[in-house]
Amino acid sequence: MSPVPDIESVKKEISTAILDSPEALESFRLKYLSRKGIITEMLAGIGKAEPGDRARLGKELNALKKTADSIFKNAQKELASSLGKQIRATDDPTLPPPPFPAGSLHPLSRTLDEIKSIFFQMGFTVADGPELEDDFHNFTALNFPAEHPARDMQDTFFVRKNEHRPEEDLVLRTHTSPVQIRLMKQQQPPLRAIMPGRVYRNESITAKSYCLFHQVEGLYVDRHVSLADLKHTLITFAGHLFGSDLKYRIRPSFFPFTEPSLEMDIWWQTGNRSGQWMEILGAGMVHPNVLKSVEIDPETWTGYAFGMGVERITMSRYEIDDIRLLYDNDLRFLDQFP
Amino acid sequence: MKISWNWLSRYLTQIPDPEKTAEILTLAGLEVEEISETGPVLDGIVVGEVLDVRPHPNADKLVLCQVNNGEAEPVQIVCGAPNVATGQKVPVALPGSVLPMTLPDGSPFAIRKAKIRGELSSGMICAEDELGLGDDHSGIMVLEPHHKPGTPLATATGVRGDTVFEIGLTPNRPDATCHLGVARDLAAVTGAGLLKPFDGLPDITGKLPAGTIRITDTDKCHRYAGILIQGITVGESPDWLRQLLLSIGLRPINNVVDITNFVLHELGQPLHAFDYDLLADGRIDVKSFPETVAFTTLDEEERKVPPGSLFICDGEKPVALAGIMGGLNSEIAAHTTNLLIESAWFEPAGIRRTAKSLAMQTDSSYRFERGVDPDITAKAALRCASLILEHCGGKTTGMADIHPVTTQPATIPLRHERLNSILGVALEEDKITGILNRLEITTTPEPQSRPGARMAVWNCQIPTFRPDITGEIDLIEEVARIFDYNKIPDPAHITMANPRPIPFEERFREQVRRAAAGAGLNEIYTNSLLPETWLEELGGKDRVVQTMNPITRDQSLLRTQLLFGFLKSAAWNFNRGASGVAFFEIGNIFRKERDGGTWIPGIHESTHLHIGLAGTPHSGHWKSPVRPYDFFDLKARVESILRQIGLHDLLHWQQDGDQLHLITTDKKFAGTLFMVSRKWKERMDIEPDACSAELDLRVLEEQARQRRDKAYRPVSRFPAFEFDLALVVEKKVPAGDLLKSMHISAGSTLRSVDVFDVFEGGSLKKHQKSIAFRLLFQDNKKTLTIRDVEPVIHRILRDLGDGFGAELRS
Repeated sequence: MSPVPDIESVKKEISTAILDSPEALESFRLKYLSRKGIITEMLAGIGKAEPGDRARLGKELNALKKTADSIFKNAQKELASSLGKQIRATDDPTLPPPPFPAGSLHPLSRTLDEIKSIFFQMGFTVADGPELEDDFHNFTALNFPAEHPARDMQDTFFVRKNEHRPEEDLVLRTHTSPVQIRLMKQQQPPLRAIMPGRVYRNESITAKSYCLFHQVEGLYVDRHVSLADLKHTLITFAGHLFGSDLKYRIRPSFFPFTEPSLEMDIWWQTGNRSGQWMEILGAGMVHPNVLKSVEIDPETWTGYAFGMGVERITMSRYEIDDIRLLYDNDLRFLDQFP
Repeated sequence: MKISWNWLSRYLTQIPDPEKTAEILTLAGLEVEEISETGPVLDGIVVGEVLDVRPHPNADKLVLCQVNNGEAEPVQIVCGAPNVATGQKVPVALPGSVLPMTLPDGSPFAIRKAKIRGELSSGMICAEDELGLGDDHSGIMVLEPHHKPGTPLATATGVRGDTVFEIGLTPNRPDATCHLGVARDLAAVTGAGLLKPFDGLPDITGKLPAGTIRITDTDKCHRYAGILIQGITVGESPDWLRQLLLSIGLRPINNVVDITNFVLHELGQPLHAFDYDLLADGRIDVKSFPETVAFTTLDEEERKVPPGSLFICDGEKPVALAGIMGGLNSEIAAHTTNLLIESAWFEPAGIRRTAKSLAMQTDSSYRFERGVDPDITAKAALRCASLILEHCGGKTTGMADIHPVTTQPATIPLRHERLNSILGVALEEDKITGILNRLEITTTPEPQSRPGARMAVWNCQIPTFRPDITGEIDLIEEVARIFDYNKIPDPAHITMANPRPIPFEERFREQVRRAAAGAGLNEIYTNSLLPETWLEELGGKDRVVQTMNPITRDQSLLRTQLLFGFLKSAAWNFNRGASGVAFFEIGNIFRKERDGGTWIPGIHESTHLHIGLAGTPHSGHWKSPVRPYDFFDLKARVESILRQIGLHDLLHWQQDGDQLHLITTDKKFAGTLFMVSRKWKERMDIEPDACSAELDLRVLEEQARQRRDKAYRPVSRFPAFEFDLALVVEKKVPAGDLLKSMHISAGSTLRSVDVFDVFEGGSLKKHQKSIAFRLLFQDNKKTLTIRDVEPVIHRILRDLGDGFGAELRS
């Protein structure tokens, strides 16, 4: 039997023990508090003491056990929380995460999307046609006179030109209006559709012009369609796209395929175009000659048509002053349109 | 086209201020694109009377003037001009005014009350040049003695600043190519009276000798009026005329030329003045030649005029290029005394052809091309002659008006009911006829032919200056534009055509666009036109659609794939320091096709989706090592998109050398994935590896159309059984074939197979590889055990062994 250590020295031992690891804590528990630990053994040894000392000894040992217990529990608690505090270099939530690509839609897609959703809301559907178009759809059916400047080689990309049989000419469409013709030939009124797409102009590429751009065409043919209906549709559209407090004006213009024809300007109040009227679209009542060309009786049916440039609207909204930015596809530009 | 506000005001009984005028014109269809102020602004400059001139006590070259400015008390003004004298009427710039010139430092010349060498000066007595009224700086400007002190100088001299409108004229409005025409629209809106400058001009009674003017080509020249004026003096034009011409940017030349220019911009009728003494035989013949003619125009250029072009000839030779420019050989000179004024109507298409082939556009050709009023020919000649008599002297000795083809005004019926129905308005009869009549369209109500017809029908006679009005709809537009589109009320109720569904292809395309962005790709838009030099790479002459007349060779060929746009955009970004790109584009491609065609016979036009990766996703990150995009990054994105649009189980992969094709169940080709060749990378100047996937959206869309919403597959309540297989096969055996075989052999309990390791070398033979598969078996009705799976594994191994020589790796 090992000599029974005196209470004071044990008291000193336990109060100075360094309990900074789970291992130290465990050996402390084994040494003092386990069933074979010193204090338990000392408690067991009370019976061997003088009967007069037993009560005092019991009291002191119980106090010692309590102290050891509380030292152990405190150390245990402390160690548990300090274990959490032990950090590695990468345990730093402010470090940037690995790049996770978000993807983006091109600004032209975004504008087009908004335009489409406004017209979908107004009951328009969508129709499609080719970018490479024939003379009939691009010019003749749209009431372009034979000697119209757009028909000569100036501004139009020709893919096939036959001086003697101009009806065989093929061009890169100069506007989305030919889709109107395709739609009216394909379906009977009432018709209500928009026709977005890419169109071409034979121009050199500069900050202000590109050899192609995008348009959204609209067509509504029904009984009793009037200029008042057109005006109402355009104002509703512009209000949705630019805000209902916008200032606009509608002024007469000229297109071969509409009569009366008009253009809509809105008063631009922001950015570098501030304080100017800006033309946003052209429109008009479908010319009776156009309806006749697709065998729709203009006395029974009337209609309106409109067209707008997606680039123009995009460029003014985002204050883009160089059209080439839209086609360079510079990441530093694209990333601004997540 | 430039229109001067001062000039307009000559033809109207009243005119709104310039700003309001611009607004009215714009809203009536003559869009004012730009407003500018021109000419001298003489605000704060008045007539002063010099009462007394005394020497300046402190300066030899200056004098002190007492000047009456029309105020109660005269003021003292210090003046340095040598010609100032008591009793003169002079222009005085009052303190606070700003002279229309700038100081040498560029600041405005503002007049202030100031002390000059110790003497007070309340204003400045001005020289001509200081007021922008001329070049004279030799002394102060001395005015006519009758002006009252205090009168604004603008009133006293009749010279005032002007506002000039730049009008973007639409091609349908030949009538508005002149001030009178623009004034007519303005009057139609405001109701002001229109003053026509040719009204009340006396006729010229003398006739030119028969045969003086002859029209040989009557199809190209419908009318020719000539007036002979003798004994004129060529000199400088009066100030008002010079000012008006200057305001619209025309340089005054001499009184004769200035007057013909003035009438052109007043009435829209181009005129020409010949020196009559230079015309051989003193006669005119209007004709064309079957051959090319060398002709020197007024601008001293010798031009090769194409056959068929119309000329004005004298007895011997061409003297003017009809409707475009006069000839140098009959030009008005300082010594000219006898004039022949030409006013004619030339056929528009012929003038356009000649002007275009010579690349000339003159004020004259611009108007003839659009169509000049055939009724104004003689009126304009008379107006011109009367101005010449007034400002150049001489007398008219005869006139001829040769008119082989006459134009009758058209009559078009207009239905009141139709007008209201097209415009969606309820305009009164008076309102409509009022507008039309102010536009000089006469309205005669048709006797009610149809019993019960309540609304009027008018027979409208269209003036010859409005060739654009050819139908009822044009008349309706005239009423609407003068009424003002903005005043058309909102419709009483909105009808909506029975909406048709959004077409499948539209919804599908947008779904693809979103899926591609969702796969972490940036959308790009690239040019559909590619440089001529790429013809062979794009597929050669038989495949590539070419434009015939591109403005540059860089925009010559239509793209046959979207790949090239991607490579160009990738190169753009690499040249600007980007580490990598992950792009997609949706766009149309074009190919010649022997049979068939998408829309146009012989042309295949389809919409493609392109996905391109190049470089590295980033240039360095602590947690994610730098690794270039590779083929499997591409394949992963394509599969992600296919899964998002619900097509992944309707398509399968097929290897073809270095390329991987996407094939539909009905064996249609839907797209291809490949690494971009070194040749292409070098061509496009790209260093990093690039991979490309190009899918045909028309084919995918067809597949998607067939896809039906299916009932869901129940999720098994029983656990799955996992089994790993490591196989050794020849290197050339594609993993895809092994996977397909496993599924066929296993049947429906094999839920999925993953490849978790691919290995070569080590103990394997050189031509061998090892692929480790993890097979997941699951049944809907029970828990699978090794006893259930074992026979399936055996079947799989047997088939793999038979079909591909695959062995279990030991």
